[in-house]
Amino acid sequence: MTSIDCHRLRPVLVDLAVGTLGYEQAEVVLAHIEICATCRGDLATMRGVATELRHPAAPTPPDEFWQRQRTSIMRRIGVEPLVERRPTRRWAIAGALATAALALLLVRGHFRAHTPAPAHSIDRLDDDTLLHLDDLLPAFVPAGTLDDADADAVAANDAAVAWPGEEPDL
Amino acid sequence: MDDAALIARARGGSTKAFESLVERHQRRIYGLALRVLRDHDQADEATQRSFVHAWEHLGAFRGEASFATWLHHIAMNECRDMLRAERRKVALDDVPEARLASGGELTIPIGRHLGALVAELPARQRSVLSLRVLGELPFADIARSEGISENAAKVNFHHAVRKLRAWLGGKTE
Repeated sequence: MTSIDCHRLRPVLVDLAVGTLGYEQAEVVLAHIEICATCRGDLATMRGVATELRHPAAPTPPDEFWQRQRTSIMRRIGVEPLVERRPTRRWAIAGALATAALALLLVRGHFRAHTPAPAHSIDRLDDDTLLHLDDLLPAFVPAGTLDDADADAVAANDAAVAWPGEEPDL
Repeated sequence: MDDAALIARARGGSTKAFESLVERHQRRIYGLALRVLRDHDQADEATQRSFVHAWEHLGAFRGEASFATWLHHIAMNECRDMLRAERRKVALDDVPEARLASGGELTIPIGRHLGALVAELPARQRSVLSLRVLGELPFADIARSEGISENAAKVNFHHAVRKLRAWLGGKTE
């Protein structure tokens, strides 16, 4: 083939190099290459360059890399990533305090409901209890004690007590 | 939902739709950037810049090529800019002080890896080569994206490869 033939062959040679040439055309080109050192060299170079350029330089990065890269790209175009925001320290403290206060109230309510009132606390006794104590009173006072009291002594005692605004009967 | 529908929503201001597009394409764009730049952090940065650029210029996307092709174009440009910046930095670091003092002409050394050489190619050739080899796009898509015929795309690819071969010392153009 002449140099003009080589010139015309170039696109086909490219197809052959990148593997997109049909079988019949490839046969023709390969026949030419056997007798043409220039085209043979071109084909070898094209294949070599493609192999060299395609040679992977590093393993594929993990998924986290792609996510981070996307986030960075979006940030560069003015889009902040939507992330789940953690509560601030102030809100966390307020929440803890509110929880503690609620717990305190519940505990206090529980003890109020289940702790019996002290016997000596008259304010906390209802009427039924008071009546009950009245009923018990005779048991602590010996029978006839009050009836046998000296009426005169009682009167004298009363007279000795000075009530506000009164003069004692002496 | 396909890319077209997501793009329409994103154009309407839906960042959620755009995020879906990012999620769908970020791996390929990163892979492309990594092949060119050969550095994880730089590839990550190039990927992010590419999507930011895409968001800012979404109105310019006419849909003649696929969104993926358009993104690959953007990513290649970002990679090229980063490589140039890196080379400038390296070149200055490598220059002997005596030479700097004498004001001698700075010669920026050709990058050590092929990705850097690709960045030196003429724009059309670089674009076609990158989209084909790194983006693994069919020539038909590349041709639509570049506004050229499929045959012209292949010829550009061929020229790009021959140029790389010459730079690598295989033979001269």
